Amino acid sequence: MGHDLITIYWIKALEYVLALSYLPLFLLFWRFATPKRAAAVAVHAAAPGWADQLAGFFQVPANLFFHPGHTWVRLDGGDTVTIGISDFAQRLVGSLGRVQLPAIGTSLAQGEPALTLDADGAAVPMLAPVDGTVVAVNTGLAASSAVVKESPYGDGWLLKVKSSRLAVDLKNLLSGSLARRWMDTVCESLGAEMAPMELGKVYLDGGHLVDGLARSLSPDDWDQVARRFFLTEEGGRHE
Amino acid sequence: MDLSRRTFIKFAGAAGAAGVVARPKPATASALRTVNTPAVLVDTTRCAGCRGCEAACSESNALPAPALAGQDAVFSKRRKTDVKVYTVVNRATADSKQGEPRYVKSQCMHCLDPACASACLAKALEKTAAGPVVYHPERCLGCRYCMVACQFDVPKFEFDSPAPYIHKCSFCAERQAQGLQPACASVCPTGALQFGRREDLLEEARTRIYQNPDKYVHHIYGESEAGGTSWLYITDVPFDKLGFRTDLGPTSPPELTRTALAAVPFVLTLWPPLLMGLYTFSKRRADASKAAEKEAHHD
Amino acid sequence: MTDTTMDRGFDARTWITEKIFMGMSLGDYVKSLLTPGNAIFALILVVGVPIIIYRFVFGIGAATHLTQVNPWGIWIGLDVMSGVALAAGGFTLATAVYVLGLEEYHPIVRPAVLTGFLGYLFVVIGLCADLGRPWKLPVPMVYSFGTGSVMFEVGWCVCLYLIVLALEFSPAAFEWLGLRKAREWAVRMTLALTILGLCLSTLHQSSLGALFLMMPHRLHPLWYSGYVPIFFFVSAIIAGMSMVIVESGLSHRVFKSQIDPKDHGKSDKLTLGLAKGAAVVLFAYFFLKLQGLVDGGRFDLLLTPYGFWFLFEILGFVLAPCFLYAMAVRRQNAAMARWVAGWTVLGIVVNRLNLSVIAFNYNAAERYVPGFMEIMVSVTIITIGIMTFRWIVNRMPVLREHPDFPQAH
Repeated sequence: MGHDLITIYWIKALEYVLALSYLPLFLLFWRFATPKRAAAVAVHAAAPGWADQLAGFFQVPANLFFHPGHTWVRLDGGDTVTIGISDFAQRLVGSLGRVQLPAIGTSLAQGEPALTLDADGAAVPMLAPVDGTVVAVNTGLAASSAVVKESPYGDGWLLKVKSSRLAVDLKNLLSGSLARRWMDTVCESLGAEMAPMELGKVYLDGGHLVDGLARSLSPDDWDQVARRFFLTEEGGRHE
Repeated sequence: MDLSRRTFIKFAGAAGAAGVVARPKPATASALRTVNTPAVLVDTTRCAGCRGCEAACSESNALPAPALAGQDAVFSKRRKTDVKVYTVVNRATADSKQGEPRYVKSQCMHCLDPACASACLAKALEKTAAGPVVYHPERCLGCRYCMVACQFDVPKFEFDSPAPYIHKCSFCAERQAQGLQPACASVCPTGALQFGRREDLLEEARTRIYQNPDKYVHHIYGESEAGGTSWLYITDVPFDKLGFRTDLGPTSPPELTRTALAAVPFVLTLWPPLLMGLYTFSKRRADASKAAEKEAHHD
Repeated sequence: MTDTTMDRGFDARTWITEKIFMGMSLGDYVKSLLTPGNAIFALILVVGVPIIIYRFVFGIGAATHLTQVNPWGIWIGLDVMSGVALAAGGFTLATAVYVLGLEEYHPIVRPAVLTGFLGYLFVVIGLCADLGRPWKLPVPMVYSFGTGSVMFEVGWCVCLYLIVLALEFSPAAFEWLGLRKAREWAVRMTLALTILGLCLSTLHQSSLGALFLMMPHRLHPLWYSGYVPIFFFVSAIIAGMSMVIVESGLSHRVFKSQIDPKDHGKSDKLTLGLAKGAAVVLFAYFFLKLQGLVDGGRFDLLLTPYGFWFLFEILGFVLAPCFLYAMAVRRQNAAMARWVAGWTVLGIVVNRLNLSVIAFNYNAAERYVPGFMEIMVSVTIITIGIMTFRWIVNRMPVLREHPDFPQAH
């Protein structure tokens, strides 16, 4: 430990070099030892473009206007519009029981609960995408709601509505590329829900999607999951 | 949580205890080297190997008589001090330039700033103002820290006893207190052991070396080794041939612990406010985030 | 379980059945003790306890390979030095939870404090086996103060810290005994005790290293450094965190029945948190060791057998676990972190043994090798420590909450 006057110089110099090089190395090490923000992103890292892949499973037709609560609007000409639920919504909920629709003549308000999906003992409400009055109901659903799952944008339509403020309402809806971007973010948040679990819960063999994603995520409170996506959480926010 | 009286008393008590606990020794090594306490000059060129010193020591301390008394065979192996042997005379591994055998007496060096006394947590080994490093058996815990601290491997331990003590040369502290010389120095027939005051003996040693520069090695062992010792050696054969460690520096061992001991009051003083600061900071952050959460829920 | 039992009058038999036999009858309790694990413990005790008695009857020399040349051996190196380092999890975790407010570690602070308390307790017991005259322990505590001695400071700090740890653990004991008022009183002292505990720990962990400052003539130059006290303190933090990881991993296996199922998942997260802390401190420690090497200036010694061993220690037991911990954290692999923790604990023990036995007296004529009896004494003391830990954990609310005293989170 006792240094003479000559060796002390290069020893001290070496100590300084060591200490100064330690500082940036420490920073690098800290970053090395930090896992990326939450395992959710680890899943993304594991399967690049996973959200895009998933989004590709859900149809988002370009001519429709989507409400963030997963109902859609098709312009039929004049003030009349057709309303239905999105492909994502039917896939999320799984096997549908009954679809409770408002009676003809009911007034709807955009963003207020309008219809209810019955599935497996739970009732999941969904929001109306436009203001207006119900003028027609898809009677074909009385027998079976399977058509809603098979063709959510075609024969699985739910209501026809005479809208009262179409131009204003449409401003709150998404279509075209915006709608596709919205579906991407929906899939990302679905991915975030799934982070702690394996991807196998979502994909079946052959690369098909599981039906009833909500139940896959959370068997006990799948309806809460669904409500979260449909913006109809209990005691929660309404637009 | 507020700083209650209880907490304050706890800290004050701890800080006070720190002041009592860690007071570093005031004397520095350089100041010690001019201390004029009793010492012995050992001139190995005059030692005949008669081992009269061993006999006198064992008689004075009520120890068994030296082994193989009067027999040359005793020098065939290098001996060390032991529980019942406070001093030994060994033959050097090299003869003098004239072919004469050289002998050297080993015992406790009674360092000026001894490692053993500094190491002893119970002050069982104590450096007295009169000079000798004495042992108080009733205080000893038998931890053997003195043994590992001593650079001369002097203290010896009763490993065979269920109630063991440490043993070493006491510099005949009781005889000195009565104005007598240590037993060994008092019987030395050749004057190899010269008892006196350290400064005087250093002068004497320097004089002998100056007057016989070709005879003596130009070094007084114990002048600065381990911070300076009371037993000083001059010789005409290299010191390592006498069995001495030549790698001991002038820093006394207790000086090496000075910084570590000085840190004690600093830690006890600085840690509490530092930690209370961290506590307050982290508490404030936790409260703020809890408040933010509550607000978010109200929306 | 509340103070109302006191009102009904104290029934010793019921109390013993409930508290000591965990609700079983004496016969059932004895039967429950007949397990293979306990058989091993019993074997160790049957061999070890007589050896301990032998040591006290016939002296240290009869039971060890210690000599005048090598007065310190594994009782100092393992029982005292390694024991104190591995018990450091108590102050590390207590500081993290109560001073730094890292509430997520609350579930493991009690087992860590218990490990610390029992660790220090059995260090003192192991020390009594090594001391030649242990009944003289009160001397430096009460009337003859060798204040210039580093060992004096170690002794005082360890004694005071043992009291601090006992008080820190007392809430769990009071909850077990149903003494609500005592428990409230003990809990109120937690912050003060934690701060005092960190002060005392800093002092004695570093001072155990400072013991070696007086011995440049005995310690190999690659290990001797003026920075040894700092090395000891920093490596104690590493040892403490790693030991907590190991202990919590083992507890979750051995005491599975006690742990709340929802805590199992939390345990992985906490393990990884501690692993990251240990990785960062190991990184800093590695650079501190390099600084010590530079300050010593003895690069020439690196190419000797001792030099290779030194390099193995800092590369294999410091740098390697540093990166392995970091990788475990990156991959969020708690099982890997536990293995690395075990290796790190071993590394700290190797470091303490290096300083006290292996690189110690490296140039002496006769080298020290521990004897069977010495090793058995150490093993026995450690075993009794583990058995005490198990006894306490099975009865007191350490790994689980006491139903009457829900922890405020």
